[in-house]
Amino acid sequence: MLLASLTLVLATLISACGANKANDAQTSKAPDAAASEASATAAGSAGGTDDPFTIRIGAWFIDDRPFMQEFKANVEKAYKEKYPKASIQWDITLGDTYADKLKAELASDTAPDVFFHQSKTAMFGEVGYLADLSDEPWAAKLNSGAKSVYSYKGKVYALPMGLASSGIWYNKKIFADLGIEVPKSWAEMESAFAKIKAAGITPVSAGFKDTWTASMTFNLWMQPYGNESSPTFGKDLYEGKKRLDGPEVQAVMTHLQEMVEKGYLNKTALSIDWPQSAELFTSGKAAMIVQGPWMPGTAQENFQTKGHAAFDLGYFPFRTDKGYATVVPGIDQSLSVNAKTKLLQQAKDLVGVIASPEVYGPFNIGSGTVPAIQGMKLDYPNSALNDLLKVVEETEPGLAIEPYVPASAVTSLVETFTKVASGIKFNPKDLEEAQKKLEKDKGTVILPAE
Amino acid sequence: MLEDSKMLQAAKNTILITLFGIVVQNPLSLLLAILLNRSFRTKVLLRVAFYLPVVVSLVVTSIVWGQILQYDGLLNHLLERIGLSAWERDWLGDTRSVFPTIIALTQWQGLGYCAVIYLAGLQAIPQDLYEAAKMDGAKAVNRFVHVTLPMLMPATTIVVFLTIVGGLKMFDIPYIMTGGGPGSASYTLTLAIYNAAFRENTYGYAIAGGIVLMIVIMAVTLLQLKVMRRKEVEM
Repeated sequence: MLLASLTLVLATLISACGANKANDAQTSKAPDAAASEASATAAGSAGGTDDPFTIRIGAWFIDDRPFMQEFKANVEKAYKEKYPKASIQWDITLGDTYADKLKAELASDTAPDVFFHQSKTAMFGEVGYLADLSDEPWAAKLNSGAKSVYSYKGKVYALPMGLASSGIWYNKKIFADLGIEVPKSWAEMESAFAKIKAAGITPVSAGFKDTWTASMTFNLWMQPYGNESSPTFGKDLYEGKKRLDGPEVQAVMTHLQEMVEKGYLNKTALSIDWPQSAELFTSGKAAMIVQGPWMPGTAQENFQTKGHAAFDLGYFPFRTDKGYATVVPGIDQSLSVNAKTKLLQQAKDLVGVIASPEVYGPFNIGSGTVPAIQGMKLDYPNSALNDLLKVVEETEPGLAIEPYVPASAVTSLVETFTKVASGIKFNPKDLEEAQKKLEKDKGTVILPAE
Repeated sequence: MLEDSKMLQAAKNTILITLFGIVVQNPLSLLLAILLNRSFRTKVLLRVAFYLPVVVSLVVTSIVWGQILQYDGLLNHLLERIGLSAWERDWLGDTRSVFPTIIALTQWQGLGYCAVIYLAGLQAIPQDLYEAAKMDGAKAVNRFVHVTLPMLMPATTIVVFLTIVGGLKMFDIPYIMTGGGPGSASYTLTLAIYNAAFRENTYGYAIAGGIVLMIVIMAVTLLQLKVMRRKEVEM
């Protein structure tokens, strides 16, 4: 019986190895059906504009929001002008799973010809997944402040879709009705929470079922505490001069615990996703929400489609106990070309089309982001976004911490964060594991360009 | 791996879900199969109802259960109505209740499948064995113990095998419903391995975890098959 089972396992392993070889041979010939069809039809055309082909583009954020649909339509229209017979296949997987799927596709040579990713330029560039875009016309005009996101070892590998700043969005009407000023320190923040709670309104709406919202909230909260302690806090962590179980992270976890104990977060915080938390905010049942620059657009849509009473949104950053704030303009979406695409020129042209003012401009207006391509002036119709841009201009810019910390340590920190959010008392010892992971997995960090 | 608290939590949860499957789901599905094997008017309807969770998409299931189990969901409303407000909680957002809730969901989903296997086993038992037992004066309990159970052993072997393997490789429900959280309260071994590979980029560690899990599954199932096959009765 045992012998038979072992024979079966060995046979399976051997056949699997054989199958892998066969698959390898197959994939090296044709990554997938669509690409194979595309390369067959495009072969010999050398980037010609007359032959039909299908080009794949991967994304996680293109949903039903009107400006996203407008973006899709603009891309297709502009690309048709260059390649009349081309068709674009949008490979969209909404949410967190996209990143996992993309990694698997890249590893198995089945990734789309052009794909969006979240600041993975260094990681993907290191292993040769990305095509060099340094000679593209838009590459010379990129904002050098975001260099660490779009370049690696001196070469441009990605088009950043806009500089974004996330933070705390608030309902201006609730603040005005309750006589609350925009908080300038943690103490003022707590006093605002107490007043809002006393008025029967949930102070902060959270949707931590989507892990990225918990991760974003933690990172935004951590940033001023870290940078107040050292302007190069992230690098100091990497070099062992600061610790993840130190006072900076402890301050964030302790304040979160206070918020949970005093009922300043919605009781559904861990079981609702971000659209549900946005609804809680736009319905006026919660006064604040920690979100990205897309929040004003989402609020506008909720006012129109869900019958919520419209109100003005305001924005302010997280502050430390002493009132220190810092803003790290981040890049939510970066666009790269698959180094192994059979449609290299067509893929580069697709990125070029997306970088054109008629596509890139409306996308940034809809997303509430600042163009990363210099010289593109935009007019934002939503006053909340002008509020955000004003705060970003007035607040001290900081160096992002996350790129210096291994993913395993970040995961451990976010898990501690959600554990505390669930009502478990914060134990500083819980942070020791994150510090251990930082030390153990330091080798997985690809340091950003400085 | 033995120093990784997340992996240990995952191992504890995985063992718990597997044991629960063997100790609770297995006898419950046998009981269900026996009840569904009787002749009554709504037999077909009930068979379909109990098998439905197996065929309904997991995405649909998770959305519906997510709505029922959230803080302002149906379950808490019901508890409030019957005067059990103290029990109200965010069932999937509380570290104490999240994993028991996930175990309950896996039982709900797997019960019908195991019951169908038992049902097939029950229907394959020749009626003349029962008639002979009756003629020998065996009562219902004796007939169950000395005829039904031994004759059902092949089906039991399959059900226990599927329950063990299903429990040890449990991934989809915690992945979709909680992502392993809050904290690492609803981690299972496969989810911990998946996160180590795709979230934390520690592929070597994930591969090591995968190999250990494969060896554990092989060892446990080989042992189970060896023990249970001995008890099977040839017809």
